[in-house]
Amino acid sequence: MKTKTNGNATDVYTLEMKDTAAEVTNWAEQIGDIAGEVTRGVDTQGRSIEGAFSSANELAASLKETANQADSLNASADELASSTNEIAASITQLSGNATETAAAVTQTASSIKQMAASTQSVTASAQEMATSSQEVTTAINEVANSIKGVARESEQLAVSVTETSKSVEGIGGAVTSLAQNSDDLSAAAEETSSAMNEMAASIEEVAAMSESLASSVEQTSTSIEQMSRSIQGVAQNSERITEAATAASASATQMDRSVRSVVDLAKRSSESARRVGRDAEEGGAIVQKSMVGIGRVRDSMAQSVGVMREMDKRATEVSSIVDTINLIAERTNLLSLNASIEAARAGDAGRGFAVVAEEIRNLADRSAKATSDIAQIIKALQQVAREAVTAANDGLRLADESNAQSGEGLSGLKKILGGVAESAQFVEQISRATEEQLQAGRSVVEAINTTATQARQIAAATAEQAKGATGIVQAVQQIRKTTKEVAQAMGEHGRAARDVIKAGQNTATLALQVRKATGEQAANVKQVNQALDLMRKNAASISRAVAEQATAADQISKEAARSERLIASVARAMSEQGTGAMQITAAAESMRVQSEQMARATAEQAKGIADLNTASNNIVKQIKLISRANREHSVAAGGFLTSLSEIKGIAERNASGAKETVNRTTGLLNNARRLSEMAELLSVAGKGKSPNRRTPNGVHTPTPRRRPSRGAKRKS
Amino acid sequence: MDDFYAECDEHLGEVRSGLLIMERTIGKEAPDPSVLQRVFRNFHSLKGIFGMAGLQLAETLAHRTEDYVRALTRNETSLSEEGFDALTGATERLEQIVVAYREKRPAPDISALLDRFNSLLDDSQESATPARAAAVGLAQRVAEARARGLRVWQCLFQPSAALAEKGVTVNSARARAQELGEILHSAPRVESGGKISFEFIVASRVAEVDTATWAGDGIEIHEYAAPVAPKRSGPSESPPVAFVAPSHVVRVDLTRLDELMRIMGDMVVHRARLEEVGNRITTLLPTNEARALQEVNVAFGRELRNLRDGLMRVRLVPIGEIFQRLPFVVRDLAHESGKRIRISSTGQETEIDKYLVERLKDPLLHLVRNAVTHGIETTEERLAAGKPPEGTINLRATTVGETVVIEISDDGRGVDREGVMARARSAGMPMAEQPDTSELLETISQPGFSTREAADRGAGRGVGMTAVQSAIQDMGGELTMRTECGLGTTFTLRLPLTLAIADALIIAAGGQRFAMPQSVVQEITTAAAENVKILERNEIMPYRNGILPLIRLSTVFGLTPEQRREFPVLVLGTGLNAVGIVADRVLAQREIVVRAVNDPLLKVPAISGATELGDGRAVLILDTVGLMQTARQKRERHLASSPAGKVL
Amino acid sequence: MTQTVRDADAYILFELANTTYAIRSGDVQHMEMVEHITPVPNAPAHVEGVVFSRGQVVPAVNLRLRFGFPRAPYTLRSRLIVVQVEERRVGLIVDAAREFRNISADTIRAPNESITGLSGQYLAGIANIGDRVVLLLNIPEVIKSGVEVSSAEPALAEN
Repeated sequence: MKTKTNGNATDVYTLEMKDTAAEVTNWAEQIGDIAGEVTRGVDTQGRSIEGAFSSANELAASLKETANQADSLNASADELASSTNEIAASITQLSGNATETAAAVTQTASSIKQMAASTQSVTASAQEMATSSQEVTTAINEVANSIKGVARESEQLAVSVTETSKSVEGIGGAVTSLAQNSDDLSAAAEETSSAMNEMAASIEEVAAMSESLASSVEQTSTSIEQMSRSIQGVAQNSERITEAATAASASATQMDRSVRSVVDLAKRSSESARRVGRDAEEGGAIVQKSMVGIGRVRDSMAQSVGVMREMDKRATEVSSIVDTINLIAERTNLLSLNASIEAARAGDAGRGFAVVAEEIRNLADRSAKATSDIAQIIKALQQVAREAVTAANDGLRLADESNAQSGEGLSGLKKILGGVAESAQFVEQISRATEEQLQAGRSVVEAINTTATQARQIAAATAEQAKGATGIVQAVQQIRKTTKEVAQAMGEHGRAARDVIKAGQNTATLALQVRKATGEQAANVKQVNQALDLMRKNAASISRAVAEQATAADQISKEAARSERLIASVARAMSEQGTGAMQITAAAESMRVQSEQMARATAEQAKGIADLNTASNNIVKQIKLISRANREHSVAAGGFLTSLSEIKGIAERNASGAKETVNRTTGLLNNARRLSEMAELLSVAGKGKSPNRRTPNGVHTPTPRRRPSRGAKRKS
Repeated sequence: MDDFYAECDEHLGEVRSGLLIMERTIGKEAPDPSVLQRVFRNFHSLKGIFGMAGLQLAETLAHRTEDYVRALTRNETSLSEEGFDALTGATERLEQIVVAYREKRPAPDISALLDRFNSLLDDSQESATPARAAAVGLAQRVAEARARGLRVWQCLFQPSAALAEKGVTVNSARARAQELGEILHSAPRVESGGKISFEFIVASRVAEVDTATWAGDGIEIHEYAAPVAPKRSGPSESPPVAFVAPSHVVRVDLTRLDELMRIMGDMVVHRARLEEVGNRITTLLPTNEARALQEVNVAFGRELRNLRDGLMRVRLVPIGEIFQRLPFVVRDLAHESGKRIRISSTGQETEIDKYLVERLKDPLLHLVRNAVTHGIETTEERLAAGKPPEGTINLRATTVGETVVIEISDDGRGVDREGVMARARSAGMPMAEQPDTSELLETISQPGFSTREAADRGAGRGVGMTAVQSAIQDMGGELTMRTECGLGTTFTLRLPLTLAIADALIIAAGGQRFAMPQSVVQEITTAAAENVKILERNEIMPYRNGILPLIRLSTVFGLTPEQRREFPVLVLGTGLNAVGIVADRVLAQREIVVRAVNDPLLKVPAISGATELGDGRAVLILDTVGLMQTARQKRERHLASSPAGKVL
Repeated sequence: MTQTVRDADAYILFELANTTYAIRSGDVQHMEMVEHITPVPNAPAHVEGVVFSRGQVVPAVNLRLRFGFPRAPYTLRSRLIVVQVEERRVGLIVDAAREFRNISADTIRAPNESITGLSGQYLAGIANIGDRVVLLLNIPEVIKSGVEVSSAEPALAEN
């Protein structure tokens, strides 16, 4: 069953065309409205762009100022930085000097300690020596005394002998007396023998004593040599101390110079810092100003962006309307074709319809062309607007960045100010510390000098002592020699004494013999006399020896006394030195402590300076950043101006584009109106030309068709 | 213009049915007057229509025929075989003229028929009785008035004393009637009880009257309806007949009904969507509102169903329309071939969709012709076979559920199996050794099977069994055949009653939507990917106490499925025949309007139609039988092309 | 088989792959814009799918594929031309269709014998309109089914 659609389709198409025409008119009117809005918007934009322009110019100017400020700030900051660097260098040097000083002082201290130790040992030795020498002296005195005793005995002996001798002589005469004398002699000889024995014993004792005296002298000698060496050592140490003290003194002087320079530098730093502070404050004020300026520019930009977004929105609206119109044009074309097809099917009856359909097609195609043109324009406008929005957004972004940077710069400046204040504090600290150092340094120098003087004194004293010690040594050697001689003499004496004893014994024997002899007679008076002569000689030599010994002993005694005095004085001197050395040690100790303190203080200063340095460097960096930012600002500001010029150009193009749109839209509107008229014609044509559909009842049943909704899918 | 053809068809149809009835009484008794009247009316209408359309030949013929029938109605002549032949001939010729006009061919000649009528009428000229003239005159006048577009009113006035006091008399009544329009007839009447009333028949432009006002004037007014002629009364007493198509019938263009059906379909879709939306928002409403909404929805759905059913009924016409034509065909063919054939039909009132009526004509015609030409034997053969000499062709139509079953059976010689097989072999067509009836039918339905048909008289538009099959399939129907050698053949057509509106499940597979008729779905279940096993190249899953073979829609249609751990399975069939159709998702359950997918370009397996869910996009409807066939074929192809070996 | 052409018939002109074709307007039921097409599985390659048109299911043939041209994306200008031949209604998808005009028979000549192959079957004639060459289509051939079209053979394209 063929579906009959002729009359129905005609109606449908007609109605659809009318609808379509109305739609197109509506859309075209909307486009007209929008184009008008756009034109107005463009004007507004132009104005805001002008505003933006002037703001941007202001901004550029203030940015230039800021840049200049930043430059000068930069210069000051550089100065500050270099000052602080110098300070740092000096302090480093100072630190080095202090360290050297401390080291030298330490050395000195240890030398002094050594010296003190040596001195103490010398003192101890000297005291020992003194004690020994006292003992020696005592021993020698005893010896001397015993010798003297022996001497006296010897003299007695000699006397006795002499008497004996006399007695013997007298024998002849009186053997009896002889016998008595011999008894006397024997008794005397007995006595002399016992005296001889006593003398021998005491000579033995003396020999022993001489031995012990010799060993004690050896000891003393050794001690004294030791002492001498010690004293030499002390002398050497003193030399070293002197050298060290000189070095320390030189260092201290240098340090003094350094400290002074630090003080000067600190003063300069302080001034620089104050200058930096002032500059930073000024810079801050300018930045604030430029921030305000940027804010204004930003507002203009934002407004511009707002306008352009609106324009873009409008353009997009128009674009979508254009799309809709395109769609409608396509559908109209389709409709008209379908209508033509139906008309052709209706043959003659559809001819008028076909003509109208053709015209509608043409109109639709023209509309399509017009909307296509509009679409082009719109697309161009959109493109331009998008570029403008991008440019404006860039500008906004730059402004925001600038603001942020300015904010950073401002906070940077604040930090600088803070840093500068800190620096100033550090500088103050440094100044105070250096003042203290100055003091400490001076006292160190004094202490060093004192020590040096003391050390020199000690050196002199010890030199003398050395001399004294040498004298002692010589004396002791003399004593030694003498003692040896005494010992020898004693030895001889001993031998002699032994001879004497023997003689004595001989004598005694002789005496016995004499007695015997006497008894036997005085035959051997000659022998006895010889023996007596011998005894007399021996007794005389003994007496001489003993006298010599006594003299030697005296000498020794004197010598010992002298040594004793010398040693005591050395001991005293040593003791004094010991005290002095301890004082020096204490001074050196305190000096060391102070030096260490100073070293620490210097280290701290160095740190303080390092901090200051860092702060200054930061400041410099900040300032550099700000400088750079400002330069960028300037560039950006330049960019603003360029963008704004662009935007201005865009706005002008927009304006002309909008005008064009309005023109085209008018054309489109006319087309749409014509379309409507066509559709009307068509509907009339349709009603007149369709074949008779009357049923026999005369009932006319119209067919209601669904109207297609706008933009919805069409399923006709 | 289609209106014109439809009207002609209708009138000719009525003529035919009338003639069929009249045929029974030829030579026995006078034909039923009402039937005569009907036939007369229709020829009269046809005359008018032909006149308006400018078909002069048809008009003339119809006029002459009308004259003859009028003579019959007036009993001026009696119906003879000759006369009946002339009538049938005229009917056929009129149709031919219309068809020729439609196809822009020259019209066949009518002179012979005219002569026949002339001769028939000459016999009856004298028997015109004047007495009927008047009655006929009124009927004519009423008809003419109606034809002019006027309404005909009957005004009855019963005078009474009360009315007379008010000044309402016959004269005032007459005046009132004259105000209304042209008085066609006025006459007194005697009512039951001896009362007298006056009747005025008025032709008026007025379309509606306020009966109350008229009643106030003492006049009873209503539309004039022709009084029914009493059975058996002489044609001269037949009361004036309202010469008009029954006023309770409205002729509607089928395209409008199509349109209504389309709108109906859309409404069904929209309602389904409304229900969906309603279900979604029902949770947002307070309970009583939600319930109210649901009730409204349900009521809406019900009314819509009623409306739909009603609309479908509007489209239904009795199949008798088609059945009517067939006897004529049989008559002609029988005459030509010299066979004696009787055609009977039952179930003429069985209704089918008007849409199908057109498309059934040719297939039925062909089958009947076949029955006459090949089925029924010659009288001699029949007698020799011990059959009654007159062959019978039976047309039967019934409704079984939603299906119309039409049977064409003959008691002829049945389909010649050997002959068919021989012919098939000689034509090089593959054939089984022992074909059963369905294969037989398939064979004779192959194009090129019978060249004899081209030479057959009914060649026309190349109708053959092939075309019959294809036409029936296009209608969504099915043709089967029963035949017994020597006893006869029965062809059975099964057609869906209407354009279907069915419940369907909308499913997604491979990114596309499909509709599965819900009637075939036993159950919807879910399967997990890990439960699917492979057995001899089939995918199966555990189901109830056994297994369920699976068919993946995406595989059958060569689409890319969504990768899912779980997927829905629609179970078709029961027990051992159960099959699971695997989809990606079940989207919705909807009423759908089934649209045919007929074009040869779209002859794809497993698709039985298309529908639209409200968004204008076509959704294909699955044909489960075809689906399973295709799945099986794919599997077999797979097996053939892949290396042998079971995959477990 | 060529269709007969009368002295001046109305045609719909459409564009396909830079070539202008023409169909008799009497063959055309109506035209639509190309909206959603539902693909039909296992249909021939050039059958894009089906659409709903005036309540009826109409197959949509991609004419480009039918004639062996490569696919092109659908635009606002693409059209679905629904042709009616006897009982069949088939939609043809073309690049654009904006013209309706009469073509007089004297501007039409038969297609050359040199046009061989499938493409020759589709042409009912060639018309010269001004400086344009328009190919007149033989619609029943174009929408014929049952014959697989090889897309390897490019269609005729005159410049």
